[in-house]
Amino acid sequence: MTTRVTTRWKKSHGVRTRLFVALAMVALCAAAVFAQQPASSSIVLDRVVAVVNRRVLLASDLDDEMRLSILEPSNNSSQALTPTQALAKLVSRTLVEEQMRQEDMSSIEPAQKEVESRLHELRTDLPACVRAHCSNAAGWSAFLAAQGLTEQRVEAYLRSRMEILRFIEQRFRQGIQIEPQQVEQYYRKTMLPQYAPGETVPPLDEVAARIREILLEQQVNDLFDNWLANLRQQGNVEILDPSLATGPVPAPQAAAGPDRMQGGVR
Amino acid sequence: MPTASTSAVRQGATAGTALPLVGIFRWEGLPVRSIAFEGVSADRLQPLASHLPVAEEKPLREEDLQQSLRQLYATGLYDTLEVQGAPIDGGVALTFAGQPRTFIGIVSVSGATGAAMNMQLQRASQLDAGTRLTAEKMRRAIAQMRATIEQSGYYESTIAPAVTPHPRQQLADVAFRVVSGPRAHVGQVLVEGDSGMTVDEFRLHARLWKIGHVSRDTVNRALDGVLRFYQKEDRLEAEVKLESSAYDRAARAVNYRFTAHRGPVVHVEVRGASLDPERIRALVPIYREGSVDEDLLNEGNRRLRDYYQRLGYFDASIAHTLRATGGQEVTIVYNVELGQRRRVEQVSIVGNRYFSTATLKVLLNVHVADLLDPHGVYSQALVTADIHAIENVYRNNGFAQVQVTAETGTAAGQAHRETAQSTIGRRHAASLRVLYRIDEGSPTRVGAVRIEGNAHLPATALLPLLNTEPGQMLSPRSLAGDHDAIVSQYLRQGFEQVAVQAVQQPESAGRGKVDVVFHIDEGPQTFVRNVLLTGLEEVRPQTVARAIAVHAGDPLNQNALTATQSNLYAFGLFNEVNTAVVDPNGGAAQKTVLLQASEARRWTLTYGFGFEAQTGQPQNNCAGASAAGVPCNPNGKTGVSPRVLADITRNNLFGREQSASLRGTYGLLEQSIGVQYQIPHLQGSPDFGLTFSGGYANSQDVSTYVASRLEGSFRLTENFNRPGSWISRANTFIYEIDFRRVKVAAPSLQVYPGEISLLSTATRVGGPAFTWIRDTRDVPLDAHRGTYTSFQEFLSDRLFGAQAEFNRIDTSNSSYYSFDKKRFVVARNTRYGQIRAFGNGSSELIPLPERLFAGGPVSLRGFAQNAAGPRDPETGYQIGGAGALINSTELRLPPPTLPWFGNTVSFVLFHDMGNVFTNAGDAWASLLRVRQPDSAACRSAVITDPGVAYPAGGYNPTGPVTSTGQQGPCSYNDFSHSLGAGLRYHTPVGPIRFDFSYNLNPPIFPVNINYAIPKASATPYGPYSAPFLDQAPHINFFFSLGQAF
Repeated sequence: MTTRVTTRWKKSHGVRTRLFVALAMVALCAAAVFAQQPASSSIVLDRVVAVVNRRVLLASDLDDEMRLSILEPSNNSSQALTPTQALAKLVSRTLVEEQMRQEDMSSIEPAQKEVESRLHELRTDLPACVRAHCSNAAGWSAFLAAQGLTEQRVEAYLRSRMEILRFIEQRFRQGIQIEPQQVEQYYRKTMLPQYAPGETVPPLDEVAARIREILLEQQVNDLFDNWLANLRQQGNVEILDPSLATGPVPAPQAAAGPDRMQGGVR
Repeated sequence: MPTASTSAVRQGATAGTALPLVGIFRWEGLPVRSIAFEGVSADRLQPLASHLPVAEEKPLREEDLQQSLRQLYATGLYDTLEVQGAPIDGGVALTFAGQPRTFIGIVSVSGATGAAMNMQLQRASQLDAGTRLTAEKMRRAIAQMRATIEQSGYYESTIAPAVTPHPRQQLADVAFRVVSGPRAHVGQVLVEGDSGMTVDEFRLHARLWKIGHVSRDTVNRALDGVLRFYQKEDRLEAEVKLESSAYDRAARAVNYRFTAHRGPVVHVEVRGASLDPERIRALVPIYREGSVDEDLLNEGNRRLRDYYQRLGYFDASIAHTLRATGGQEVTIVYNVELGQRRRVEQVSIVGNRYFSTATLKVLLNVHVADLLDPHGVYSQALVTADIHAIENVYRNNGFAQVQVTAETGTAAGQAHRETAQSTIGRRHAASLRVLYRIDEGSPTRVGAVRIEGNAHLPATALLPLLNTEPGQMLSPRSLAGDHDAIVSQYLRQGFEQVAVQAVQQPESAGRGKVDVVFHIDEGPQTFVRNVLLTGLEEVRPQTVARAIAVHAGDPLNQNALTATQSNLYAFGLFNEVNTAVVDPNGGAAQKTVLLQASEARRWTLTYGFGFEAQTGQPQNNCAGASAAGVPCNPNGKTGVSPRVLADITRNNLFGREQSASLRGTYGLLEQSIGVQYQIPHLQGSPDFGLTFSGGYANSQDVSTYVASRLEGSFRLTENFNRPGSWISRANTFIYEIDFRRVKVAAPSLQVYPGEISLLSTATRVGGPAFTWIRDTRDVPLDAHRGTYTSFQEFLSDRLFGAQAEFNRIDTSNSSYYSFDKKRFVVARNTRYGQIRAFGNGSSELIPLPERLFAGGPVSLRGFAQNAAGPRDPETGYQIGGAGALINSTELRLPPPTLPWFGNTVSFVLFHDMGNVFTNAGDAWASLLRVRQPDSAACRSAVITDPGVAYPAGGYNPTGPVTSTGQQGPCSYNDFSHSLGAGLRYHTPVGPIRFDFSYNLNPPIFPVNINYAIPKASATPYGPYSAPFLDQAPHINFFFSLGQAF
């Protein structure tokens, strides 16, 4: 933006000097006003908060992550993640997505029907959603509006989440062998102590398949955690906002959050 | 990523559960009134700043804002970045503000004690110019520098960094000031484990003396020393380790704690074949490596197998076992199964139509028995390698379906002989025949060649770079070369992320051909923002300006950067030149280029020592030698001629690429001192150089005389380095004006007395000279291919103040041919020289030092140094000639593998022929003459009765008078032939040479005046007392450096 000022020079040197001083003062005042105006009312619209292997993470991405965290199956309290927790999750997901791109996992893309089915499950099963009566259209719309979300955004989130889970499945589940001794050991040392004396205990044959699945998930999770820790170590993660970098470091489970496989037996 | 509708929803959201971090949703959809940049200027961000997704007067959208932020941050110019918004005129004023990133400029270290310590510390800092400067990097740099300086024994050092920012360039120079402090001594040494020695013995072997200073090598030297001791005891599994080292500040000493386990004594046995212990030590690598592990033992298997295969046991198999005996001894047994001994009699190739058998045989490793490999070379691995080599050649020429198989067998009738041999204990090797059978298949030809995705470079500029053309055979190697050519072309234009993919598609016309499509993903183009040259202290910027091939505004071209570095080094003014691009991985469209030079020392002192040993070393002043009891004759003596040389040069004169030097040589055969002023690149031109030189030299390299030379010259050298020169860069022209005053010392002259005063007169020689050199040799010191030609023309004329008038042409040509996979080299050198004298009276006599001479280690090896050609008719000493024609041919053999020497020694066979002639015209006429003409005249020229023949004034020869003086009746117009053999010991500075030659037809000559007989001797006629007929020796040897030619 440019301002053109035109004036007529007087012949008198003294007048010229006074006029110059006056104009200079006006110009200075004007400059101060123009300089102050945006400063006084300007707000930060967005900013770079972190860089993960040259991929820029913005405050708006973090904001988005926090809003979406309400949809996590593990979130029973309807409380969004703190910014630090959200950033940790975002960093982890960025690292995983980078690996997915490098490995060209096109086979893991879910069909639209699968995404819709998962959306339906979310509306009916997610505790926060159940409380908001998401099963009917009005409740669902109100819930989305309250969280600052749209159905398209939720669908995109679910799609991404399904892709990541399938990637983890493909990458880590293959090759894991669960021996019968491990199943029996889990049954005796982990499951049986959870039953009160006198309570009916299911026989091993009845729960063996479920135990095998749990053990499998545990091993997948362990492998995934190690792999993710390795990615973080080898990758270049730079947190630009000191308040986000110095906050409490979330446990790996929280960091990986929805990307982990979960299970239990009772 | 959120969509616009998401943000719209957020405006209405209660946000009770999620606190928004950003405020974009406030003004989503409002028009953008202005865009400003803070921290990094808009200029620096161009052209991106003008092409961001957010633009003035466009509605504000969250996606655009996010994209703009990501793009701006990706330039690499920001450390932090945010976008601020403010309401203005019903719209929004946007400001992209951030902390600009700082990059490393010049890194310097000063103050550290030690010759190269500053340089070592600079490297240890790992602060690379052009990369991002961060606090973490600085911390790491100081830690690494401290670790490095502590390794050198300085544990109390201080390292103070000073950062000088250059905000305009976003650069910061880092200067470290180091105070090394006191140097630590070796303190206490503690040794744990089963070392088998006392601490004092450990100190002795580790060379950890208490009074010794700690250096970078202290620990390694200690570990090596102790390990070497164990290795001498054959304790090859010994382990020595430094557990810790701690500095004792009070004692200023470093205390060390080692663990040492001596391990068992290791024995190696070879069973199944005989092998002497020395060869076992040479072949099994555990001795050389000083350790035992499975890899080294397997390597021993391979080496033993190779050794026996060289002896003809092509099926030899080796296995090893390890046996421990009582914990203190380990025995490694190599079990050898030799199998049948065979000899490769025939290697043949069938089925080849496209390539000739000769072409393919060059590729083979397997070959028939010959002089060097009496059993030939064969193994299954080599056959497999040969098959791959043949298949690769075919595939690279369009035969994708080629199949090669190998068949081995015995020659016809061999079976019977083998049976017979087996009964007599296999004293003779069975024959082996190897047949390579080739099924070429049908060739694949190229249909069309297309280029796609080239937005910035037209196809007309790219297609000429390609070797792949329609109709030709499809060659994967050509495709790879074409790929590289396209990538290189794009890199030269600043497309650093270009990706090229060559795709083969069946031809649409279906004629069995393949279309080749090069898909190009150009990526962004990067330009040079500016070039910052630093480090010039004495050198003027204009001196190096022409060497800089990168300029602001040019595409960022890595080749130009390398060329700039090379050009700057070529000045010889810098000892280090580094180039760097600021933020090389950043996404900015324009980047700053850093050229960091470090000037070399302005004074250089070079000194050296050398010697030659040979038969027939020139022997001047026979009278003096005889008086001292040293025998003396015209054929010289066997001796060594040492010499020392020194050169002191002042480089970088006046800040320009100019130098002045003073150099001197002192040896038995020559003493000289000279000055030289050199401008290697006249006016900065890479093609022209100028040299002024002058000096004084005294030489005794011809037995006949001692010559002194006072000379000066002005020389203009023209090279052809410029691209597009009319002549190849192998050529050099030298235009010269020479002046010299040559004088022969009368007392040293060993010619007949009547010529002494004439030949010892000081003579001025001067005039223009022209030299042409063409050099295409691959390695000048030890060429395998190429040619070397030199042509020298010199005119000495009264017009230039000369007292002797003559025209001299001296030309030489060498050529080198290699064969049998470059193992053998045939080298040839031919020299022709002629001098034509003109003028009147004394000016027609060619001064002795200006005449042509030959003979010696780099000339005719059938003669001693400068001993070929015409001789004084009465004394028999060499007097040089006016014509010379010499040819040398060498067969340079491949180095055999010898004990101790390995492959460092090779042999040559040579034949030298030629001579020096009184007249140039005699040279060609004597080409086929192998006997000295009219040798009877030589014999009859010997005075039989000195008492009768000795006249008052001495003898006066009766031959013709020529430009080289009075001749006698003896003629030397024949071609001398010599056969010889030589040994070459190859070193990094060229081969050390020993040549032995046998002259088939050395000349005879009369010696009527023998200066070896003193005048005051008991004989009545002094030097005239004992005339005899002498002959040049048949045998000569020479010991010197470098190939003969």
